[in-house]
Amino acid sequence: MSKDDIVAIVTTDKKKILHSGVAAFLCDNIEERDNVSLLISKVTQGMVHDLENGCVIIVRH
Amino acid sequence: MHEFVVVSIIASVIGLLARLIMLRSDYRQYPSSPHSILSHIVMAAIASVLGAVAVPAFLEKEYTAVTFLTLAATQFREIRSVERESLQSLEETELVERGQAYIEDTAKKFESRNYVAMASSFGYSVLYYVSKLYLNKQFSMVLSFILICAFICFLYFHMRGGRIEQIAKIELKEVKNNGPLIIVDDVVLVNIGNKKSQQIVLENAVGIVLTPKNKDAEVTLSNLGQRQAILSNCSIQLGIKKDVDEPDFTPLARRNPQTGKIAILILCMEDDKDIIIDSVARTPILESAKRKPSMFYKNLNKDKKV
Repeated sequence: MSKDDIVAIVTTDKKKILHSGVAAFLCDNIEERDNVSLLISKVTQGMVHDLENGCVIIVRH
Repeated sequence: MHEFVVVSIIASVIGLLARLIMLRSDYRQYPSSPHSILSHIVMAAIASVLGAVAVPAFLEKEYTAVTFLTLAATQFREIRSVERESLQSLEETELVERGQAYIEDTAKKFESRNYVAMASSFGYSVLYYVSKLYLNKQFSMVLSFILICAFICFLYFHMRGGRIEQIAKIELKEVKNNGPLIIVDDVVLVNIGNKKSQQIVLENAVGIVLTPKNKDAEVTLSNLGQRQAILSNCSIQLGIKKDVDEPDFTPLARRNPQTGKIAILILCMEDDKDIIIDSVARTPILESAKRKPSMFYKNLNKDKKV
């Protein structure tokens, strides 16, 4: 994996994500989304970035 | 004892002393003591002996011995690559990287300081034999010693380089947010999506703004290597609240493209504002980052007048 890659997308809105090849996780609410994104970021040592449309992306810098 | 031997020994000692003066292990602990320091002293000893025997060898018409000097210079060039490689291999173990430019700068310094040892001992021998043409032995020894000390002092102060405080005004600024974006003095530094991390950053992080004092400073500070050097320096001196799995707390330096100001965000252990400012202020200006567009304007004006 090269530098600055999106590791995962975590969202509450299924419609916002196209099939892009990056792992996407669907959550029921914002709280769950924040928790899931935190857990994934801890495992992948990535950073959580908020797109402010219900999606967050986890990027490894 | 033969005169050549005496002069060579004195010259070698002077060369070694010149290197010892410049071999300071400061807060960076590099070169690390005692092993790295010892290897540098040995290299300097070899360099100064080579420098010292060059002139006597020349006077004795031992030209093969003189060619060894060039051979040695090639060998000493290796110092730079050895230092570079060793620092680069350690880079992965650092929480905040030094950056390529800082490493290159350090490696360059070690190489040139070794040359100082060689140049001082060589210079002493040359000065001694030249002054001996006009003065007696004792006088020429003292005179060449004084002159070479002046030379070493000149190099010592000249090779020190500048500090950030000479080219920029340093102020602390409030860290604000706009949604997930973290902002220092109107410069967006990062998007932190995690609410808890964002809260920690807003409460504990320090915002520092560097305002360049002139055009030259503006270009120098824009250099990525220079910015990384500031961050690396601060994290060593101030301590950093971050671990490997917390990229949210990585110190950052971003530039305001309109004004050339540099905004820095750092989560440090130190609370004292003056110490934080001092830490940035005392960061060395990297040789490889230094730019002087003012010279271009000067030359341009000169050409226009002609």
